[in-house]
Amino acid sequence: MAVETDVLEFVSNMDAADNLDVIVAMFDKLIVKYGYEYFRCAEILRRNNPLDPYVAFGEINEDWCERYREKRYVFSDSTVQLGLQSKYPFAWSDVRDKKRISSISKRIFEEAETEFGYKDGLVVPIHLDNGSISMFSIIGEKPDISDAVRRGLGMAAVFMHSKARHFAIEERDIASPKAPVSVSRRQLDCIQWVAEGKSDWEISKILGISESTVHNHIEAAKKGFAVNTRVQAVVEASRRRLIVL
Amino acid sequence: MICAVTFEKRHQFKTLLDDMHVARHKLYVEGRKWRELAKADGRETDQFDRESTVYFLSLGKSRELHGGLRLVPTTEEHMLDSLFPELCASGVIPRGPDVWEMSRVFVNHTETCDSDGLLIKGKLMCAMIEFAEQNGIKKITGVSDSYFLPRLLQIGADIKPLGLPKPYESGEMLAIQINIDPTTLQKAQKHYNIPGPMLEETAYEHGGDTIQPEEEILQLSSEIELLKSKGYVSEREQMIEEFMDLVRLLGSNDRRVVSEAENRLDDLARRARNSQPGFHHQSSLGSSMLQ
Repeated sequence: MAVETDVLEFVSNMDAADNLDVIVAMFDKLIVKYGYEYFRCAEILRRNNPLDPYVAFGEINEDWCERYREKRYVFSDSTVQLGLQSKYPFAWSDVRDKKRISSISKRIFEEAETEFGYKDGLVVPIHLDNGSISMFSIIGEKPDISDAVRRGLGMAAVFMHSKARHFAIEERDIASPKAPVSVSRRQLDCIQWVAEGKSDWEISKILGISESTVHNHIEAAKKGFAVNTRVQAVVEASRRRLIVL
Repeated sequence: MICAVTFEKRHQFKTLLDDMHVARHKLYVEGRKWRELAKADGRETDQFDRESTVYFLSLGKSRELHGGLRLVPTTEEHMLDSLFPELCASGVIPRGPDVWEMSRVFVNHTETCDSDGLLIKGKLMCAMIEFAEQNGIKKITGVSDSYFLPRLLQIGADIKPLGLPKPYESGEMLAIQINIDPTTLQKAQKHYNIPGPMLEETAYEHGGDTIQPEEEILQLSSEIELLKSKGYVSEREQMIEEFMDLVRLLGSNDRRVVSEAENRLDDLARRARNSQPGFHHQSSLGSSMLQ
């Protein structure tokens, strides 16, 4: 199967790439074979945790991006709505052909097509451990949306997103080297709620875990920051920009 | 802590392994509705639960089961070659003594984290990589729902697809391969926030105080019978002497003494088996594991 060979080759060639531009060029070369011209990946659901870099890449028309942002299309776009629930890549046309989509969503499809030539595309939803969801859209004039291509480019997109994310993490580590702290995300969640003035019992109800687990998380965070009180832990977490006050 | 339960250690983990089969049934049959795995006794087992299979069990503070996974050697029948060969591009299935297959990953706890704040899944992955490093395993293959691929890639390890995802009743699945290199463990530990080694070297189902010496000795003396019946007594005199010493130590109230004795016993059993070709009641674990 041609697409399988192409995608496996793309993934293995990505190892040698040392920056995002190289991979973007490689991905462009891959998708054009299947009738796609543009792509854009952006994190649309995100926990406000500075430990995770914000990942966005790929070029689509700036005017379209601007309009999409300004008119807050993200809240009406039915590909986004489906993407939030979908586990696997799907085509715009899968959504568009459905009768029950809102008039705003219909208009978004029409504007994209008539004004920018974005006729059809694939949406690859990318779900991460921390609850973050990214949408990777691959768009074209007359794209091949067969199942094999959908799965193939979908997989290529996931590997590309991962590589871009690791580049972003590396960049951040180089830009702001910090003394390493061994405080887990769950512990930080608890510290964040301590900062909001919540008690152990309240935090246990919010996070759906037991009160003693909350207590242990906070004790562990204090240890991780090498401080003695929870107020200090909040200050330390905030100073290191691990929580947002 | 994570225990790697090899065939030799299974007798110490009888209850926990049974709990594991129950937990797997709950997750895969009752949760994910993989009806073909349903068993009347509520314990999920399949053809890959064999002597050569190594189980990784994540245990809580009072040594209750929190999660697990298993590794199967690819030199024998495994999932990719017997159930999902179509997931490997052009049918090339990775195989060899240094290639093991991971499957049946489950978390059997009300939370994804233990009380120490560490992800159970993360502990299991790190322990599995430690085990791979210690036993010369270079590649770990597996079949995964493609929905989980981005999460797996978050680790930052060298993970490659073996082919494109394909549709199944339960979702879109794909085959992947984790290449173990000197950086893999460090990357996994960093990603999952795991502070250090997770693999418990000498692991027991029971604490020292609950070990029942009589039962253990009974079991061991039947092994003596076995040795005798094989007619190896004269050649094995020294080993048997050592063995009897160990039996005595196993009855000790000091947990450390018992633990030390158990270790020496494992070692002794290995030596006895290796030196006597007619006395193999197992070990398809691969020579690298028997060092």
